[in-house]
Parts: sequence; C-alpha cells; structure tokens
Amino acid sequence: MANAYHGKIIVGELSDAQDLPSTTSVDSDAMVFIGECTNAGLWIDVYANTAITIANTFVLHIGLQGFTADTAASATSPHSIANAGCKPHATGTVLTEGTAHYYIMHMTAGTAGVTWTAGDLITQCAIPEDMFRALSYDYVQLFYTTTANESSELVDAFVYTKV
Amino acid sequence: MANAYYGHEIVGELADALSLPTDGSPDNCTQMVYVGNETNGGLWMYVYCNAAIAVASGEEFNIQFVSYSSDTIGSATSPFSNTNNGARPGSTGTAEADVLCYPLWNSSTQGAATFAAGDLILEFGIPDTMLRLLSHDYAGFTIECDDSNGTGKVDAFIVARV
Repeated sequence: MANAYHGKIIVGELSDAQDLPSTTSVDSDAMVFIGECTNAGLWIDVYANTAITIANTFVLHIGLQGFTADTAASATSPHSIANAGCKPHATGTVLTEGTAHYYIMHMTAGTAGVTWTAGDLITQCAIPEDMFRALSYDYVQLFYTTTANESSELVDAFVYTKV
Repeated sequence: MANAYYGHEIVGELADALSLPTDGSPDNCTQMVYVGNETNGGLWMYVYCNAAIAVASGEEFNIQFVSYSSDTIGSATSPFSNTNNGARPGSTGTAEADVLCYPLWNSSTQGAATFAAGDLILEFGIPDTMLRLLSHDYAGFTIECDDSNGTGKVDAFIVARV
C-alpha cells in the first residue's frame, strides 16, 4: 500500500491526518528540524487527507513559522529587520515581535467557497533559509487558522527534499 | 561599485527601486519574469529594501505572490488550484481565485514595519509544481501599503539557486 508522502523523500512530518481547527488557530502537530544551510532544497507540501470544503464567508489560512528550538508555542514568522541583507553571518531582529505572517495560503471569504478532494495538493512552499538563518531558526512548523468548525477535515503536511 | 542584485545571479528583475504605494490599493511589480517549465525548486523571488521603509503601526504592508500563463501582470492570479490529483506529473488543476499567497502579511492589526536600506524583506521559492498545474510560466508580485505617510522603495528579482 502506498504511503501518504505522495512520492516524496521526506525529512519529517508536520501534520499526519491532522484535524483542521474550529474557529481558531492551531500549530501543526510537530516541528521539523531543518538546521544549517540547505541550499534551498527543503520544501513543504500540504495535501488534503480528506475532502475539505470551506464554505463561502469562511476562511482557512496556512502560515509558516520557525524557531530556534523545538518549542511550537514560541515560533514566529521568519521575517526580520536590521538583517544586512541576510548576508552570511548577518543576524536580524524579528519583525514587530513576530506579528507579521508568512502565509503560504491566505483565503478571502469568497462568494463560492473552496473545495479540495482527498489527495489534492493544497499548497507548497520552500523553506526560506536565508530568512531562517538571520534568526538562527532551525525548526519549522505550520499553523492553521479557520473561522468555522472544520474539525472533521484533515490535512497531511511534511518537509521534503527536492535536491 | 556593487550592483543592486545583492550578490545573486538573477534570472530577471521584477522591480527596480519601486516606491511603496500609500493608498491601500495594491500596486503591481514593474514586470513579470519568465519561470517556465519545471525548475526543481531552483528559482526564488527576493525582495530587498532599496530605500528605508517606514510603515506605521496599525497600517498594512503586504506582499502577494502572483503568476500567470503570459506576461500580463494585470491578469495575474494566485497559484492555487483544486481538483489537481495531488499534482502528479501530467495532472492539471482548476484555478482557485479565493485563495491567495501572502508571504509577507503585516496587517492593520499588527505592528510597525521599518526596514533599513539593504535589508532582505522577503525570500520566496517559486512553487513550480503549483504553477505547472495551471500552466503558469510568469511570476510576479503585488505590494500593498495603506500608510499615507509610508515611505520607502523595494528591489525585487528572480534568482536561480540551482
């Protein structure tokens, strides 16, 4: 039987049939260690594990966060200021105490709603390693935000290598 | 004198000293860049601060990634699709207009954004699998700021990291 990695060589799981939240934000089930420079080779895919329907007037957002340790609650977006262009050995300061977001999917409350079938690719992003390095972030996670009860709908997400 | 590509080998320019809008209406990048065919994740969009940026607390400063099947920034959309069969080779998807890609979202409920000239504002890998599903070969961005007193400029380009 095929596994749930959709043919990818994975580095670690973020969400394995994780329930979407009910009118709140939740972190992915796990963080994944991506330390050191990866030469832009690490990516994240998010798939629909079950059929997912976001009705009109409601939203599902998916954001990327990082941190220096495997501590989900402390994770922030990877944006920084005073980072000298993220040159090698440059460091930065988290943008506005981490209140900016790196949304790899951000929905507007549309007129028709959105539906994915089980197995659909929902979104994909690369780990922005220069931004992570400027903050010495070695761990990555996602967070999911909904404005309706979507808890019967599930997602898979993982870090994998494209190199 | 060093050029304005910050040490990168660029594929094409998206914006050269583009001023931030100040009216809350998104501005398009100056031009799109061709990123056709699969690049195995090797193409990235970088946005740098060309001149000091100051956006006050309570004001929006957002950058949205967009793409399209031709070099027509006015028609560009988000790269999302559904009914895409897990993006397997040969699959296609149906564009989903209500789903957007905002790798920088500093909304009006959040804090100030102040970048110094030369700061890296945003790094974003071109999601080539998602673009393939929609036959999108051109990449770009929109930039939005609703601080009427906001100042600053950005440089942006596509870089090959392969």
